[in-house]
Amino acid sequence: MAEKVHLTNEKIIELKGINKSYGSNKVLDDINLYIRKNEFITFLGPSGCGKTTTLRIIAGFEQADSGEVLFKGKPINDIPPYNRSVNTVFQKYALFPHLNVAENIAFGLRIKKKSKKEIAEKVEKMLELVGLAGYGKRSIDSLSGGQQQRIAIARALVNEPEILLLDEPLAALDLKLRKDMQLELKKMQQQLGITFLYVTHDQEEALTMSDTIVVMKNGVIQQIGKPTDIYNEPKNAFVADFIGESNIVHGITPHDNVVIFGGAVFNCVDKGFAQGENVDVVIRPEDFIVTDEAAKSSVVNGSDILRGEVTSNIFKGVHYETVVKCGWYEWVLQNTISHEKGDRIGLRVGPNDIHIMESEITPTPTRTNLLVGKVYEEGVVEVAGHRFSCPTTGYGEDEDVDVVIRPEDIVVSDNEDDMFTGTVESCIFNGEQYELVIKANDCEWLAYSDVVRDEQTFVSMSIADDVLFVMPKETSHGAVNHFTATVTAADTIEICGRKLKVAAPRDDIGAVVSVSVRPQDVYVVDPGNGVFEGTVADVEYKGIYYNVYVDCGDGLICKVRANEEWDRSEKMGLYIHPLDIKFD
Amino acid sequence: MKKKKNGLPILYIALIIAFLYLPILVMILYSFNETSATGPFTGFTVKWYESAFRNQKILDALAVTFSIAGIATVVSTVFGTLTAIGIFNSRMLTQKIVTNVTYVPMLNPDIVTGISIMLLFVYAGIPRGYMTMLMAHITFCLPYVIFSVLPKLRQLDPNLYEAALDLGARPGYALGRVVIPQIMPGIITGALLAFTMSIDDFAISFFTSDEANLSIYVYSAAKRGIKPEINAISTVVFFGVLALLIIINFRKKKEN
Amino acid sequence: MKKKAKNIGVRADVNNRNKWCAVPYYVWMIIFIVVPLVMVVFFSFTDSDYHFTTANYEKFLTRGANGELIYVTTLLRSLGLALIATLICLIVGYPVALILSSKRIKRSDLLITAIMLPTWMNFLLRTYAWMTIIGRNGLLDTLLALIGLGPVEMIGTNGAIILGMVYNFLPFMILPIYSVMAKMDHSLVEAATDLGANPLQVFLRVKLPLSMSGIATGITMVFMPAASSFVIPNLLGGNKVSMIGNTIEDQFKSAGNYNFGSTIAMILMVCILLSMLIFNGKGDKEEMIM
Repeated sequence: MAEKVHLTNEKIIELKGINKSYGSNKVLDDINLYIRKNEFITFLGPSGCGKTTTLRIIAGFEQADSGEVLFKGKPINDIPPYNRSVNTVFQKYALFPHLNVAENIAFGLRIKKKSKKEIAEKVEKMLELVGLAGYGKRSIDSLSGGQQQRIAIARALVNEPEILLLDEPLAALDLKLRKDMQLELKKMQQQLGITFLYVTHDQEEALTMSDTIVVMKNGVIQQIGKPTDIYNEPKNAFVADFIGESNIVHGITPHDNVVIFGGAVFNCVDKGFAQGENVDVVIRPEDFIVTDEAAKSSVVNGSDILRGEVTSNIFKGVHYETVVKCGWYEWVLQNTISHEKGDRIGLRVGPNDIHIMESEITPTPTRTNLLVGKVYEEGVVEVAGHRFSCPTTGYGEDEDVDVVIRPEDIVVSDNEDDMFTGTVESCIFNGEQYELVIKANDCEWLAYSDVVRDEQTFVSMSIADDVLFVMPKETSHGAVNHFTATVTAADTIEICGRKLKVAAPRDDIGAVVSVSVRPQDVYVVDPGNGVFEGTVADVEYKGIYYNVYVDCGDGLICKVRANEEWDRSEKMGLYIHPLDIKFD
Repeated sequence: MKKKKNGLPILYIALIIAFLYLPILVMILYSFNETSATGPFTGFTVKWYESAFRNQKILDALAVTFSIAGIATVVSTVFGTLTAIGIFNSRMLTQKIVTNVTYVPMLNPDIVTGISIMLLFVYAGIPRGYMTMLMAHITFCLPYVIFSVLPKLRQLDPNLYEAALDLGARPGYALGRVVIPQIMPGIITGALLAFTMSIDDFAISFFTSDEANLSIYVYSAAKRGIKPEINAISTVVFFGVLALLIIINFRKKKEN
Repeated sequence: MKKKAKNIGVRADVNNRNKWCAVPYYVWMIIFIVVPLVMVVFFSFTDSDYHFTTANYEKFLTRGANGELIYVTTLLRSLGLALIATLICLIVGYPVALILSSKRIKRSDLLITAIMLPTWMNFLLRTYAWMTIIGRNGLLDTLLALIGLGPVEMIGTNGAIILGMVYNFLPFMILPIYSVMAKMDHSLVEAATDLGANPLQVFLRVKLPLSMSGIATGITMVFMPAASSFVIPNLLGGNKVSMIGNTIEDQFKSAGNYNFGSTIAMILMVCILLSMLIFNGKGDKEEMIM
C-alpha cells in the first residue's frame, strides 16, 4: 500500500462538469473531480471507460464538449498543450525514432532555448535519475521496452512539469519489470514532489501506487477514494468486482445491521437500507472463515453458516483458492488450508467483512392492477362497480379486500356492451406488445394490446371471473401470521417449543400472549439457518407474489410472502427479525 | 532431397526478359551504327551522340522535360505532402471524397486527362505553353505524392505529434521536426514517382502544351521516320533511368 | 484491394487545425480535376454555340461511304485489339508470375525488378525502338534477308499494334499477379498437398482462385491504357490502322471539333468503366506504386 505523503489541500487541477462525445458515442459524462498538489492519483477502469480521454483533456489533446478544466483555479480549456506545464508519458512511449536518447530528452529544453551547457547537464541528471546514465548517444531502436519507458519518463520529467500524466505506461512491460517500475515510479514521485496522474486498467497497480483512486466506467466516475477505502468499502458492485477478486451476490436487508444472503442470516455493520431492500453483497475471498457445518451461530433468530461442498481447490502459491458450492451459490475463497474436493464445510463471514451496496439491478416491480374490492355476498366480489363471482371463503360479508387483476387477463376490444368501457390514456410499445393505460370506472387499468390504439379513444375491456386474485387487506386480521407464545425471558418468547428473541422487553414472564408477524417479514433461508424449520405445505399465487404456507410441525403453519414459486414439501428455514414480532 | 527440374521455367523467364530488353538493346546498338539506316551494322561511331547534343530542338526538348520534371516534382512534393497531412486530419467523409477524386487522374486514360485539361486552358483563354504543361504535370504528379505519403501517415504513431506538442513544440515545429522526418521515406518515394511520371509523360503534355518535351519530340520525329539521333538520346535516357532506379532500390534496401 | 487505414479512429482535437493544410489542394483539385471533367461532359452535350444537343452522340453513329459505322468500328477495333493484347499478356504473364512466386526461384525480387525496369523508360522511346526492329528495312527484314526471306510489311498491321501493346503493358500484368502470389501463405499449398491434391489440383483449387484479385488488377492495368492508346497505333500502325485514341487526337489536334472529341472521350470512358466492372476490376493503382 502507498505510503503516506504529505498532501496539502491545494487543488492543482479541477474538472467541472466535463462532457465529451465522439459522434453519438458519449465517452465522458459529467466528470467532476479535483487533483491535489503532490498527489499520486490513478484513473482506474476497463478499456473504454473514459480514463484516457480524461487524461487527454487535461493534457490538452482533446477539447471537452462542455465543462471546465481549471489549473490552479484558472480555466485552461483553450490553452494548447504546448503552453501547459503538464507533460505526458505515453503508453507506447512515443519516443522520436529519428533522434537519439539525449536528443529525445533534450527536445523540450531545446524548444525553450536553454543553453547547450544547461541542456547537457539536465539530460545527464535525468539519465541518472532513471538509471540509464551513459545511454545518451544510443539510438531509440537499440533500447529494450523497459529502457524506452525510462527515457519517456525522463523526457517528460526534464521539463519540470507541475503534473506528470502517465497513460498506462507499464502496460507493454512484462510482469517482473512492471513490478519493479511500479516501485520506482512511486519512489520518483515522492522524491521529486510532482503530482502524478496515472491511468491504468490494472487494479493491483492502482492499489500499490496511488494516494487516490478514481474508478471509472462508461464515462462515469464510480468512486473516488483512498486505495483502502476503495478496496474495503466499494460503492457498488462494479467497483467491488473491478477492484480485487470478489464474491458478489444478491441480498436483502430486513433491518439495520442484518443482511440475508446465500440462504443465511448475517450480522453486519451497514445501516440505513430500507426494510426488505434488495442489495448487492460483496465478500472478499480472503474474508471467509471456514468452520464445520454444525458450528453455532451468533445471529439472533437465525444462523450465519453457509454450508456447501468444495468443488475445486487450486494452489496459488501463497494460498489455496477454493470454490465451495452452497445451494445456488458458488463462493470463491482464499485460505491457507487445503481442502479436498467433495469436502463439506461451513463458511462464515465477520460483520466487518460484509460489504453492502445498493443494488444496481433492482428487481422490476411486477406491473399489475391492484384494486380495492368488497365482498358483496357469499361468492361475489364487487370491484370497480362490477360484481364478479369468485370464492370468498374466509372473508366476511362486506369485508374490504384487495383484488389483483393481471394485465394479461384483461381482454381489450371495442365493444360498447362490454363489462368496462373507457378511454385510452396512453399507449406505449414495449417491444413485444402495446401497454395501454385505460381509464374506466374511475380506475386506471393496465392492459396489453397487440394493436396500437390512439390516445383518448374509446376502448372496452372484459375480465373473466376466474382471473381475480382476492386477498385480505394488508391491515386486516387474516393477512398476518398469528401465533400463541409464552414469554420465557425479558427478550424471549417461545412458540411451539421454539425460542425467539423479541425486541420489546417483557416483564410478564410466563404469560401466554398472542403475537403477529407479517408474511413479508418472514424470510426464507437455508434449512438449519432459521428460527423455524419446515416444509412447504401449500403455495398460492396472488397475481404479484406467492403466499407460501410452511408447515413447521406441531401444528405451526407460517405464511411467507415469496417472489418465486416453491415446490411442495421443499425444506426451508425461516428467519424473523426480533423487531418484526409484534405483540397483539 | 529430390532435385527438381528448374530448366524449363528458367528458360521461359529468360525468354520473356529477352523480349522485354530486345528493343532497348537494338536501340543502344544502332545508336553506335555508322549508317543512318536500320539495316546491317556497318561500323562503330559516336557521331549520333554528337549530333544529338548539337541539335537545338533535342536540347530544347531535354531542357523542357527536365525543368518541367524538376519544378513539378518539387512543387507536387511540397504541395502533396501538406495535402496528405491535411487529408489525414480531416473527417472520414472528406477523406473519402478527396481520395476518390484524387484517384481520377490515376485511373482515367491519359488521353482523357489530357484533353480535359486542354479544354480548361482553351476556354479559360490561357495560351498553351510552358506554364500550362507545368500545371498539368503538377496535377497528375500530385496523386502519386499524396498516395505515397498518406500510408506513411497512417502508420505513424499518432502520439508522436502529440508528444512534441506536449513537450512545448508549436504545431509547425512539431510537424517539421517530428512528423516530416518520420514520413520522409514516403515523401521521397512520392517525389521519385512524380519525377519519373513527369519525364515519361507524353499524352497529357501533348494536349496541354505547344512546347515539345522529349516525348513529343520523339513522337513528331518518329512519325517522319527513324533517326539514329533518337537512338542516341534514348540510350542516354535509358542509362539515366537505370541509375535512378538503382538509387531508389538502394534506398529501399536501406529502409528495410 | 484498397488497404484499410490502420488508425482511422477519431482524430484528436489537437490535430484538428492541421486539416486546413489540405484546403489549397481542394481548390487545385476542383480546378484541374473536377472542372475539366465537367467540361468534357458539358462539351459532349453541346454544339459550338453551347446549346444542348445530342448531335455529337448521333454523329458517333455516322456511316461511311460503304455504309459501315466509321466511329463505332474504330471503337470496337480499339476494344478488340486491347482485349486480344490483354489476353496475350495474361496467358504469357501468368506463368511468369507463377514461376517467380514459387519457392524454387531464388532472387525473384531481382528478376521482377528486371521485368519492371523497361517500364521506367520513356514509353515513346520503347515504342519507337520497335520501329527500328519491324520497320521497313529494319532489323527483322535484315535478318530475314540473310536467310533469303522477306521483306515483310509489319508496320501498319493489327499484329504490330498488338505487339506494341503486349510489349508495353506485359509487366503491368505480371506485377500485380506476382505480388498477390508472393504474399500467398505457402502453408496453404502445403495444406492442399497434405490433403491429397496433386500439383495440378493445387494450382486449380488453391493458387488460381487466390490469385484472382491480382489477375483483375492486371487486366485493368493492361486493358485501360491499351484501349485508349494512340501512340502505338500512330507509330506502329503507320497511319493505316487507327484506334479510338487517334480519333480523339484528330478531333482536338487537327479538326478542332472539341464537342465531338469530348463525346468520343466520354464514350471511351464509359466503355472502359464498363469493362472494368465486367472484369470486376477492384484493382488498386496504389499497389502499383513500387
